[in-house]
Amino acid sequence: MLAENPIHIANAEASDARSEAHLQLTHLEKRYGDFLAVEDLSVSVRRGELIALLGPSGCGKTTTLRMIAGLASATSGAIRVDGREIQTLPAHARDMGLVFQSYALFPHMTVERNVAFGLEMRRNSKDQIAGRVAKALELVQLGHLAQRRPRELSGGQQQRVALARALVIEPSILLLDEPLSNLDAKLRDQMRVEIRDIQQRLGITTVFVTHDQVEALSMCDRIAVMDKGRLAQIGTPQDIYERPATPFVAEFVGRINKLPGRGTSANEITVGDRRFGTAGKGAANGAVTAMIRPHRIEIVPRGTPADNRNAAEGVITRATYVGDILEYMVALEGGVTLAVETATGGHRRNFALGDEVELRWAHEDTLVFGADA
Amino acid sequence: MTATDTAPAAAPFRLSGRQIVPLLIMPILIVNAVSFIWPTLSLLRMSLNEPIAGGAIRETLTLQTYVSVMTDSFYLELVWNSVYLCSIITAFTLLLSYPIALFIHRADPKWKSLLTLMVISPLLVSAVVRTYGWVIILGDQGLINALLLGSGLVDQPVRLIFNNFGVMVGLVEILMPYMILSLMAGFGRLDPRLEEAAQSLGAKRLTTLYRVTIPLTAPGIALGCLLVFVLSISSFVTPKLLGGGRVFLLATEIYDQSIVLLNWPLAASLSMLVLVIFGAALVVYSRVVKALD
Ligand SMILES: Nc1ncnc2c1ncn2[C@@H]1O[C@H](COP(=O)(O)OP(=O)(O)OP(=O)(O)O)[C@@H](O)[C@H]1O
Ligand SMILES: [Mg+2]
Repeated sequence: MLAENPIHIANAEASDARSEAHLQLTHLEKRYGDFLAVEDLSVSVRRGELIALLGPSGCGKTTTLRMIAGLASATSGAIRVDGREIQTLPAHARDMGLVFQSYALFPHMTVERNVAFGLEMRRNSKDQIAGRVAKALELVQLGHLAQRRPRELSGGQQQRVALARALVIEPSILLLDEPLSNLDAKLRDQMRVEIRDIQQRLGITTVFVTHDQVEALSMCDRIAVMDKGRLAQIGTPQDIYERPATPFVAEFVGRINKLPGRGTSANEITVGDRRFGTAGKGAANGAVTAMIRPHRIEIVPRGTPADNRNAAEGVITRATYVGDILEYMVALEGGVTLAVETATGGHRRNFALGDEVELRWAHEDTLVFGADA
Repeated sequence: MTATDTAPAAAPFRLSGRQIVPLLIMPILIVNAVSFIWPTLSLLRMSLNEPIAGGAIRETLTLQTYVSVMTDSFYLELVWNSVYLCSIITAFTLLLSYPIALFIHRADPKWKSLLTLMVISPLLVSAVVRTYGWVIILGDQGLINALLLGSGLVDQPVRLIFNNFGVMVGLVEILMPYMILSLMAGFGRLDPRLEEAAQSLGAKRLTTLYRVTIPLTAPGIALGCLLVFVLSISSFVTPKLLGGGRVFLLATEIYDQSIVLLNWPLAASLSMLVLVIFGAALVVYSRVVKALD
């Protein structure tokens, strides 16, 4: 998916130069009593950009979305659309489509009437409404259930109605609060493509809340990772995945091994008595935590000629077959155990429990953070 | 532990769910039989007796009283008046109660119980006392007329009681707590997210109210209206005092016939008529509820 659309990433960077901020949050803060749900959040979303708001449960994603939509007031900070402050604008005048985490479908209306609601508010003609509603329902594959009530639908079907209801009004800004959380893997993939497609076609600026990193990485132009109400990092999927700014981000966007060590120079650390080259930016002479993604480590038989990668000898203590990958746990001498993932496939050499092996990984795959991580 | 657990046979009585249900509803069945069904049946019996001038009653089985009620334009008008006035009272009670119920429903939980208490506190005072309160406020020498006269807006006291208006004011106020409580009970489906969803789709406040809020609270509205309508049709003290003998309603007429004129068969047949009206109200209610679903 990442490799699939290098063009729009290039586009995104080009428009960055023009820096055309459609939706801009500056020092946004939301306080519930003593509790800071969102703190000093500054994000600038370009016109037509799909940005993910990624973070663990309770980190303030929904709260942020509600402030943008005008359903909750910010304690301080500013929200601008096209440079204009919109805090005083009521929700109904903001022209934003919102998919609620809890769907919020009108229980007293049929699916069709639910989807038509926004168009009726915009005083479209009856024929036009009927046509657009039918198209929107087709898009989410629910045309056949148009006359049902929401309570007669499954959770995933309700979620798709909510999506259709927000999409059909073709808002200038689309806010999606985990719109695919209740769908099965296949449908979710289809919906991702659909959302991305409509979003690109209509150039709708979109904020996509999710706690699924795969979703964020695969669909979005940029990702804003939130942690306890604060912005931990914002950047392209590659930035976030390859160059996480904090250990929190590194751990949140995928599995990762942690190795306690000491920094010896900007691009070298020691773990026990082993020396490893790193991605750089390491702090010399301090306790550090090195992080390596399991699938970036290669397992080779002992005695394989050395290359310019990091190497460590170990013994396989566990091997788990998970379909498309094999998960190994490899104990290094000195008590550290690393997880390693390799793709499965006939041509690959599989290792067995107790095999003595050697691990190899590139210097730039060794991320280094301060030890307080 | 296992020894006691696996010895249910030791328990002398064990009732299955099937046996326990009739047992549990038995008390209410008995209460109902004694306090509702039996009196209703004796009323029915009484309505079939023949009244004799002077208050005597002849035991017989005749539909004579019903026939005279159905053919007398006074009674037909009485029925129509009662239903009409009580419908208006119900409508006004709803109109005044809805905003209050919505306000309490949305209030901070801290204040909610206090506000609810304030709504039901009038029920602690007897309707008679509250009606006299209205006499004091609305009477010719009452508060409102004093203000109107004092300000020079009128030079004759305005007639505010001993007419339909007085009865309406009194009954609306007295029945509002019932309406508010019924409405609040029906607000369960009113998820604030739904109103937010409507707003985010472009609905203004008023549109949200009639497209989302009111439809969602319709079951509570129906229940409150049924309750208030039935209570107003059967209420007697307030129409009697605030109507001052000039407002003729079924309940006051039943009182007059039974206590003043001692025409029990007529009073009984009018009571049966009230029961029919209740039945009709119930039918309308269940139709509405079914349509809403
Ligand atoms: N009305 C409220 N009053 C007090 N605290 C609140 C309120 N709404 C949210 N919070 C708190 O604010 C924090 C952020 O909530 P929010 O709903 O934005 O989380 P989230 O990131 O959307 O989480 P999830 O992924 O579980 O949906 C949570 O800790 C929550 O408990
Ligand atoms: Mg949320």
